[in-house]
Amino acid sequence: MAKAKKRFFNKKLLFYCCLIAFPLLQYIVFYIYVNFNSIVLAFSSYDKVNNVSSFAGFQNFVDVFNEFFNSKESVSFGIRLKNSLLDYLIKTVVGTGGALFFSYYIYKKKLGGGLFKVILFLPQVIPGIVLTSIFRFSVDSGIVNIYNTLVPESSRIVSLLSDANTVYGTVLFYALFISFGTQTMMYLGAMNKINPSITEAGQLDGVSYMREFVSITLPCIFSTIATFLVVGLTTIFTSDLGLYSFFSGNAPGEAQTLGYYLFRLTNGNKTNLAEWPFISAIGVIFTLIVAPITLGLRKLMAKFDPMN
Amino acid sequence: MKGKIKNKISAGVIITGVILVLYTAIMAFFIYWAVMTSLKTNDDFVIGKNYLSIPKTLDGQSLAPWEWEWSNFATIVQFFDVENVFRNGRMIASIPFGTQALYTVMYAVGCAFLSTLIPCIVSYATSKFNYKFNVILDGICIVTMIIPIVGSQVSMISLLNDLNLYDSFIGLYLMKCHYANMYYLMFSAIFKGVSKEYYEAAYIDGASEFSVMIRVAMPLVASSFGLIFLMFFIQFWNDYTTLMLYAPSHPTISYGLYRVMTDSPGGTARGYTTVRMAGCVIIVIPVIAIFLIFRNKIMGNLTIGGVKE
Repeated sequence: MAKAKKRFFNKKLLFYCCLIAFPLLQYIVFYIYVNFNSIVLAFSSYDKVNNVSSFAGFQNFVDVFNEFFNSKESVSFGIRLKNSLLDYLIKTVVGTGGALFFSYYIYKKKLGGGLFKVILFLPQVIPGIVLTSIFRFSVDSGIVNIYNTLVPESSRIVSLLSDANTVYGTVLFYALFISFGTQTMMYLGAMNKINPSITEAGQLDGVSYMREFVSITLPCIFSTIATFLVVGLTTIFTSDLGLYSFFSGNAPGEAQTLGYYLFRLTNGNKTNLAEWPFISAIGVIFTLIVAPITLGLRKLMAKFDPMN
Repeated sequence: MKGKIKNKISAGVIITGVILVLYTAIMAFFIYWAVMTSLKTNDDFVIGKNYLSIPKTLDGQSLAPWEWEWSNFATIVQFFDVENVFRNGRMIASIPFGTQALYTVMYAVGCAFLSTLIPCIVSYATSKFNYKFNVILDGICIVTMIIPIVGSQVSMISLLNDLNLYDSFIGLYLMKCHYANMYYLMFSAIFKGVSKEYYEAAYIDGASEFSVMIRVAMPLVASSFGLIFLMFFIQFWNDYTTLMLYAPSHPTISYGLYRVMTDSPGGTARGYTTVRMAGCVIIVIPVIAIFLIFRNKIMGNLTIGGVKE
């Protein structure tokens, strides 16, 4: 009996091992090794002529800092950093604020809520390249042309996306416009989990919608909001505002972000091994900046969570 | 006093409603504009300056639907061809729309299936069997989700090259067999809620561990599995940057559209706005259809804490 029990236990363990072996191996190779290799690459250099890699110490990091702060590129880096921070700020304030109001409107089952839910989520479903194309052509070949037919010749504009003064504002508007969907759905999901007896008690006390929103709804969904704020931090270094879909590798300098710069650099050098150490060093620097801030903000948010 | 507050509240609701109506109007305008533009002749659009209304003749007469420029759709399909692609050091003359459609199905279906299956299987293992190693698997998932890592793409390309899997579907599939994501937590929440009695009954009937998983556990998560598969499918259908980086000689139709939209050889139909919009309409139809059919499931089940059963 004991033997049979032991054999059964071993069968279970064997089955368990079979289930987790491949995913674990995949994780070790495609996550741990890849990120470890990224660090190794950041400390190496590649000799194209002899086709060998060697240890380069901190040279790649020095090169990155020189590129960002002591070269012609430093102006571009400043613009990219400013654009990326502004993108995060606007999306956090307007994007999160808007999504909260929209989700509350739908949560309260106000007029047209079901339709608005579908419309707000549509940009998450439509391919980014399609949305950027429609936006680009409808703005430049549609709205701009309509505007030009209505105003005198002296006031005409050529294009919102090729004018240095308007290009960043235009792509930022686009990025904000398509950003509401996921957040709205997540907040709505969290709001629907609020115990109805809490809101009913508030309604019996005669609290207004705004008071209910501020005093009941927001505290109840604080952890969801905090998650978005924390996760959103990474976008400072990864968001490209759809620039690659708009302009491929030729986005105007005034509109570029750090995420776009890094992706363009990676895509442009995917077969150029000599550039990989430099790109990896940028990735390591960005990660070293964003990881502690993310963890710190996460702790801070947990501290301020009114439900704790 | 109370009445005054209520008026203000109503104003807040009205303002939000008005913003949402405006948002809907802009979105509707984009869709209308894209569809209508895709059905116009280039002359109607450029010379006739017909930017907003339905297709017309050059002397301004509205056309009936059967007279609209439906041939734009056939034209754009030809311009989807991705030319001068290198694979294994050799140049491939051209990858036509049909091949791109095949690659799209292979990429979207294969990656969506694996991206759903792997978290599902691991969460079944950690929920069903009570081993200490589960803590490590859970911990890996949480840590991976919390710590953001930027710029490891070149390292991934390097690994795929070393494994001789760069620019191949197997390489892409292996990349997507990643269990440590939010769907692992979602599946875990579902499996932990399954009564042990289901499993015990199957054991009594002589079922093996594999049979219990396939015949008892999996049907219980089938609807969530389908929903997550759909969300991944839409995501991969729309994705072109992954293929651009890791499988550049296997363009999907999203990648083909990206080429159409960003390459502008003068004098070809690629440069015409009307034909380009036809390309957008072609790509968007399948995902919009899937979304509209399953919209309540997709949107109703989207929460950060887990998929509601």
